[in-house]
Amino acid sequence: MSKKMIVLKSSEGVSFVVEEAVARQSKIISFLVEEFPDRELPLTNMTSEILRKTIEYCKKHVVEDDGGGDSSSSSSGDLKEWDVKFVAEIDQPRLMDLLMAANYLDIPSLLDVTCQKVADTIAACNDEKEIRATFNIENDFTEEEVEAIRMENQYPI
Amino acid sequence: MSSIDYISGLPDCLITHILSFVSTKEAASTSVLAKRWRYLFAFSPNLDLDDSIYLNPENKITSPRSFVHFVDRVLALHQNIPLNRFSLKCEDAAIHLAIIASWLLKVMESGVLDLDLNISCEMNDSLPWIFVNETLVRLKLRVQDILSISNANLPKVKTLCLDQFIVETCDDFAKLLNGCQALEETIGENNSVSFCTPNLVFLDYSDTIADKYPKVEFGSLVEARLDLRMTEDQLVEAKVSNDDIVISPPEEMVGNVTKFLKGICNVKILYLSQYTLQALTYCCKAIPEFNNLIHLTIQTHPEVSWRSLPALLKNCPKIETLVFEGLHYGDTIHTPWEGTSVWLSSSLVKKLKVLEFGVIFTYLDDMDKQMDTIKYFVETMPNLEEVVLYYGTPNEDDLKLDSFFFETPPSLKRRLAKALFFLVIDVDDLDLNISSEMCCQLPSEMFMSETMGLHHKLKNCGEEDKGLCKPWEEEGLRTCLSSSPVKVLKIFKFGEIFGDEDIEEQIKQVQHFLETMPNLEQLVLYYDTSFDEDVNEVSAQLQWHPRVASPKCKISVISDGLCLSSTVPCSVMSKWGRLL
Repeated sequence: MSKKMIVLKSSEGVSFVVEEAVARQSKIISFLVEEFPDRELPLTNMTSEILRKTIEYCKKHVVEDDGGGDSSSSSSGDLKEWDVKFVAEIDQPRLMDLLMAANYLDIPSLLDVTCQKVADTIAACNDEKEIRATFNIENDFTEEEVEAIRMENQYPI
Repeated sequence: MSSIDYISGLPDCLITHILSFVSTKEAASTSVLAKRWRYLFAFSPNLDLDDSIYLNPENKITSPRSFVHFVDRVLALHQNIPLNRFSLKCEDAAIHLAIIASWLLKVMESGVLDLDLNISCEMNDSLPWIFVNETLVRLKLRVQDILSISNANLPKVKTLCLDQFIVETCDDFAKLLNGCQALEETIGENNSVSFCTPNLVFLDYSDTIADKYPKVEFGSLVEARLDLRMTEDQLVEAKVSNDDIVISPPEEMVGNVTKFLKGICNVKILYLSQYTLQALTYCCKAIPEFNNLIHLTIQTHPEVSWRSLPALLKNCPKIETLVFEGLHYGDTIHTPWEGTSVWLSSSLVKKLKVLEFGVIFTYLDDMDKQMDTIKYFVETMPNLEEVVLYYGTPNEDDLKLDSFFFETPPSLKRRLAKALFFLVIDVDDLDLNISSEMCCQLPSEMFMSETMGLHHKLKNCGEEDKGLCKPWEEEGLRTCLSSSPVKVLKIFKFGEIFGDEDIEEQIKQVQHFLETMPNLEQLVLYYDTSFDEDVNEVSAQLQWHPRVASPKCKISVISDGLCLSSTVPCSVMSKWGRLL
């Protein structure tokens, strides 16, 4: 039995042929497949690189229904480990893009994995200066304003 | 490396989603990053507030007050934003409960799904409403104080995680569980139940087996009724078949109730339901010693084996009274006491009672088997002085039990002669409660061949006292007077004379009740007389009767015709209490 394939097209016009079960992890694609069957789905706000990454994630996380029983190739522990590796290899700009893609395509597990990675990066910083440096955030507060917020929050930072 | 600020370009909802993965403390530190980040931390769908950092003595710039300010502020900012999870850890007992309550009210109003509370301050029963919530899906509690639960309604809660959870009474715990109709995961992975009730005297506990019993304190417990049930999973794991006739004993325990039993092992009176008996087989490797136990009641069922019983009885060195609620034993291959004759032949049990004798549930459960079991008891237990069978038959012929009493070998007859046999029969449901109990206490004419005499006596008693004992009306004949839980005893038509009876005898009987029933709180006699002096005299006789088992008992004699009542003053009775 051949599996049903669908075609996703990136912003650069590159086509990706994906098994439907893999792509359906995105709630948006799931919806589009039902509305427009047998059509190429253009994802104009996603680069080929990000789309490839997204598909890689979805392939790993697909649970095959037709194999009988729980035929997911990996155990949940292995899968977690894989996720950590998966986001660890990605640099910050691409991580943000992937996070946006997960949000756009509505893949909650990928969104959580990417957000967790960003959150871990924030948590690993010792102070706000380090956070600013890590994410290139420009400080548009004056010294006095920062002090005022600190007093307001009264949280030992 | 680029110098573009990607993260600040994300939509608010994504930034707050990111911040929901760190503690609210860490999230708060982002508020000084830039103006874009000023309030975002407070909009996170998960709030995780922990005061432990404020309690650090090295921390000089803050005080516990700061934590209160901080939480106040976060919750003020968080208005009208959906809240998924709220976690509050308050180790500082100085933070007043009223403050915590104000936070929780806001949080509950916002429709939180997941509530995790770890509170150290005294509860003083001030948070009853956390157990009444329509949206909550997960509730985790860790409180230091004892909770009392008056009302629980958590229709959506699927996971209830009770970590260090102490309730005042088991009733409260039952209320909580009853209030969670959607519960899927009972108490989650921290399925632990603690009892810290050192003053409790009587425990009636019914529940499935918990994973852990971290604290079981029952310092004063005298009597316990247990209905510990195995969970569905445990039943599957134990491979308990429908009829529970597994030939070999279980190899591995599927749960552990040992610690709980250890906590109650000082009881004098113990009642075990059929499920508890089953739980002992599969969930209790080493049954603790019940060194004070004198009275044990066991409920039996054709689908539950007695496998755990020998081990339990071996650990009850002082047991005097053994009561079976039914004699049901479904195993057709083994006798219930196989391999236990050593224990039985050295048993100290003096009184053996069988309630619901002769009741048959299944074809496996026939009368011959019940007879055989009784015979076996009588043959092997050397110290038996009294055997009472409560036989609920309406047929007088059944009472003759010829095959049992007269076709026994002479050796057995000798043994039988030592033990007094009482057969108590079910003549009239309404009258039975008192009269039959009374009969089984009377020493004479009770021997086996005179069962018919007993029967007639019973009938007379029935007409004489129409016993209406509210608390145990349904339970009928289950306990003898000396361990009777009856609190209110009413006797109608007191003083009505038939044949050669006289009033003195009736008074004596009432006095006997007062002497033997330990829990009596109220005795009411409806005296059928038109003479005030009669009322006063009976009242006086009962008041000054010297051997009242229950010194707090309040005695009223009410004369029907004149509606006169004479009540023993409480002060008089308490004086007696001291004298006794």
